[in-house]
Amino acid sequence: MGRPAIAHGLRVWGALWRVRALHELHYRANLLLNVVQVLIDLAIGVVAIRLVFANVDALNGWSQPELLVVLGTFTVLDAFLRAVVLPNMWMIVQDVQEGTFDAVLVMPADEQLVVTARELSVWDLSGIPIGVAVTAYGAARIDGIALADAAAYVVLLPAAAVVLYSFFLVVTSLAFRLVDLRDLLFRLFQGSSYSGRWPLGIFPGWLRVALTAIVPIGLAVTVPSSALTGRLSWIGVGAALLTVAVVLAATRWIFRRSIRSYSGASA
Amino acid sequence: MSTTAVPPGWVRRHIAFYRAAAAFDLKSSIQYRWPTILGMLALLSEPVVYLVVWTTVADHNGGSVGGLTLGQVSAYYVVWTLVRNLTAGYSPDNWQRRFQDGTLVDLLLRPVHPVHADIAGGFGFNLPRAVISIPLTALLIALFRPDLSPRLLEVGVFAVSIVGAYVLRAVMFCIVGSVGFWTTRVDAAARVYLAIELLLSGRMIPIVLFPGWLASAATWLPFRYTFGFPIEVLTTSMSTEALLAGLAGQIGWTVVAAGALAAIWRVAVRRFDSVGI
Repeated sequence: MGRPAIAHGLRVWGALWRVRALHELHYRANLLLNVVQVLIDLAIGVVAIRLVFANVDALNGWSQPELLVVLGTFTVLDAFLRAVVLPNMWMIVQDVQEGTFDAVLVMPADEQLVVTARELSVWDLSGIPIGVAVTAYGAARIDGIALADAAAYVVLLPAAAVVLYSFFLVVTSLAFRLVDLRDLLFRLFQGSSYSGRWPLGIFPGWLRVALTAIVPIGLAVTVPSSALTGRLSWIGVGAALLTVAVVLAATRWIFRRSIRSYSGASA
Repeated sequence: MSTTAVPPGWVRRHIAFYRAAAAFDLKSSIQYRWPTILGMLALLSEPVVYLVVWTTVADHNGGSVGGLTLGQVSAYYVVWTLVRNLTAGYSPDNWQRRFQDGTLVDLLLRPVHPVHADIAGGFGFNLPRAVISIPLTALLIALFRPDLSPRLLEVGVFAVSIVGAYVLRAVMFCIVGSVGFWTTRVDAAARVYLAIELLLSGRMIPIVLFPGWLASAATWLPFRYTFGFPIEVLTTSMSTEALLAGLAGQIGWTVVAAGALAAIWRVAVRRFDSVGI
């Protein structure tokens, strides 16, 4: 992809998000409700952690402040999923069901770009600063966090978001064959929102594999959290970034192959 | 839904409606069987994660947590899977679509309240899930070896409480969905409701593990009757009085919720102005 194509893509992305943001800003009451919901979710996470640590001093090597880092990271990624990924995936399923996906295919822009940027649930982004604050609170209570660990976290957090986006786009691509995927998407998102609050290290091997390969939320939350808590070497960081690049390329290939099986049925 | 005397033919009409609506959703669910099966498998991650977390804590804590043994923790989340699959309903955020695309008009034109459509549809929708739940539960029992030995009475009360939990949930969802009469968008309110339910119903953490004040609050609120109570019926040794009191509480909260829905609905439909197709 050349520089003009990238510039065009960014302009399309910006225009689509600007329109969606202006649309969403009309629903101001949603900001308050979204903040309340994020805070309740956070309270649930904190209550769970407090209950766990009322019984033990460490959970498979993870201390209470370290689990707060995991919870904060999860809150950031959960907000990203709610604001950017899920609304767009929902839209793809709806388009396939109603036969209106033609409108995407005839747009003078890359199909993957359009299906990724058509929707933006602005108020759900409120979870990002809240999650960052919880992560910072937890990190401040851990001794000996190096600047390099924090830098690795800053690099790996967006990379984790890309992995989650790729996973949900691949699953949504099944809609071109199975059509009604709303229940599956909803359950996968729900499942990820329960498993993502805990680090992979506390799970037995088979579940660790499932939460890495099948629903990668465990991986997405644990890798940046491990970097911040000094559990990841620079080789690990490099391997994680390389994996993200491969996942992104594979996702694009799968998505482009999937849309070939779409046959329009719109009015 | 009327709060006055039942008019002649009301029961017969509603039974016929329930049969037709349940059959419709059952056929739809069978038509989309692969998404249903994959969705149920995806749902497994939730109880398995809770189970692993709490059994790990129990393991580190000498074999028990908050008075629950490893086997009892396993039993709680194995039964949880059954309850979760059998009480799935028409989620309140789906009401948003009814407002936005105007399909609520179709429901309002029917001679039965939309809550009946949701409850009846769910019966049909959940039937294949109930069948698939049997091997799933057997698999979890084989994997996690729960401490489960319910009496026949408890099995009977469990069956009744599952239906009660499902109906109570459906009515509560309808109340939350009614927010759309004022706001059109329902998703944020729905998520607030579901987050509160997650915490206070015993869905995420058994209520017995809560600190005292939170456990008392959860016991008095309706959410426990949608998850915690049916699970406790099978997994703890409750006296006959406690079982009957639990069922009475569930019915009581359903009546209160239905009354609240009727009151809200009377005000809400007056301000309804259709949009969409």
